[in-house]
Amino acid sequence: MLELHGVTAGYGDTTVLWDVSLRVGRGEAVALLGRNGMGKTTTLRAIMGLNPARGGRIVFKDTDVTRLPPFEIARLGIGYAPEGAQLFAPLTVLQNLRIPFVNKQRDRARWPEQLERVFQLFPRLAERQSQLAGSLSGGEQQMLGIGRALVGGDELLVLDEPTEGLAPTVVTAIVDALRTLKNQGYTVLLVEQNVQTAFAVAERAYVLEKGRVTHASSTTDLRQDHELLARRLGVGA
Amino acid sequence: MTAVLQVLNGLTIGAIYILLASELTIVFGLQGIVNIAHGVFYMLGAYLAITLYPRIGFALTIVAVFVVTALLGLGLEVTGVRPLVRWRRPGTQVLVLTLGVAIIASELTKLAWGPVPQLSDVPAGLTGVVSLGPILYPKYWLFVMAFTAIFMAALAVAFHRTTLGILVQSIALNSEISQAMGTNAPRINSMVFALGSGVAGIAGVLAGPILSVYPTMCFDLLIILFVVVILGGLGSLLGIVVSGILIGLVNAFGVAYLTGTAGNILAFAVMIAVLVFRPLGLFGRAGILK
Repeated sequence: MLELHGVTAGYGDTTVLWDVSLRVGRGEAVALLGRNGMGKTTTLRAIMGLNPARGGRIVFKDTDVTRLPPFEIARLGIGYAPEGAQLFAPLTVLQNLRIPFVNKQRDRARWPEQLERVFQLFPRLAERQSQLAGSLSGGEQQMLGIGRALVGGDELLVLDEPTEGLAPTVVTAIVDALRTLKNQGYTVLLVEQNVQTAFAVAERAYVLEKGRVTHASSTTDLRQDHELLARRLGVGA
Repeated sequence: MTAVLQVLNGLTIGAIYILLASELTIVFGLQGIVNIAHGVFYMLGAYLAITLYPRIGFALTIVAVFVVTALLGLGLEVTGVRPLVRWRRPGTQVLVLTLGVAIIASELTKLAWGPVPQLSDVPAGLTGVVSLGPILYPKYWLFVMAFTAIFMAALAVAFHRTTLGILVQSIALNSEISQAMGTNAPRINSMVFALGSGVAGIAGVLAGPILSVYPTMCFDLLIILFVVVILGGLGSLLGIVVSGILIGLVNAFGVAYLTGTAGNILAFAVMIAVLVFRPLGLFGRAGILK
């Protein structure tokens, strides 16, 4: 469904990603792991066209999206939840959800149904519909960030550290939601620093180091590889 | 009693400032650019009104001027501003581009309508005075105030209640993320620029019978508009209303009780005094339209 072929990308004069290739098949959940500053977020931003790839090719559902502007990439069917949610803080929960919906869905009559899908996953958002997004707790903000990626009726969800900085109970709620989404047939590309979250959701993982993919395997294999976990990801063996 | 008269004068001038400044502040909020050519549409509106009004009447003049200036604004945005923004060259280069457009337009206006200041006619039906207690006040000036009040109320509703308004807000808040949510920001930015140019044209039609119409009016007013925008706080519509009225009043009282140029001097003094205490202006908050 999504393929990166030798993608190079960066900010200004700095190149952050070197020759990154990866594949996410339909219905798969794939994690992108790595320590801080290794290029995980940049990879997602390159996919979304926010940091356009300088070299290589990005293909989504048989369309070459490498040179497309972000809004066209999003409209092809990618739901994006950026790092730290990045909600529109002075707008309400409903307005935040409304933005991707009106941009991506031709049929406005599907609004109640799309909302219901989000609220079923995150009942707490239903209680906070008219609250300003900026007034939500950290966990609720991440939930709304994921909700925003869902209402467009997309098939691929691209999620950037949806559990970052959250309390363990909230992390559990979000991990449960991500597993539900996967079981509903969504394709997921998940960036995580928290390896346990990634293991709980994804069946395959790529490890990024200094902007290059240095390891690719199933999460079951990766889980056993204590040496690699310790060395590359800083997880205590 | 003359004080009350000056308050009314200040409100009328302030109304024109508000119409014009609201667009400047919205475009800045969306694209981070300063559009020096904004005054051109205002000037063009005033001149077109002088030519059109005797032939097609006031209401049609307003419509025609809106259409013409909005289309010209669209042309400027799509051919000039948008490429600069896309090449990540906004800021100074847009400023220089729009300054150039304004200089050319001002010279062309001189060629087309002559260098002599003119005053356009008060529309039939809005001539004469209304008695407000002991004061007799021109009906047309009251009309300008009412027009602006209704327009700003409609704008506020559009911003907070319509889908387009919410998309516009999301672009102002975080253009990048909004586009990653599927918002066609380039198209919406063009639309807003065009609508704003159209409103500037209407402001020119309205201002014609009140302020004089001359080929450098697009620059003279612009300076005061920047004062209004900065004093109100960039990106704040409420700020525009408050500072527009404030600067209108300062101007009216300055002109009435001091000298003709005192209005501008006082306006700057007020702006500087406010910025010392509130560097973001009266209602300024980074990256928000409200």
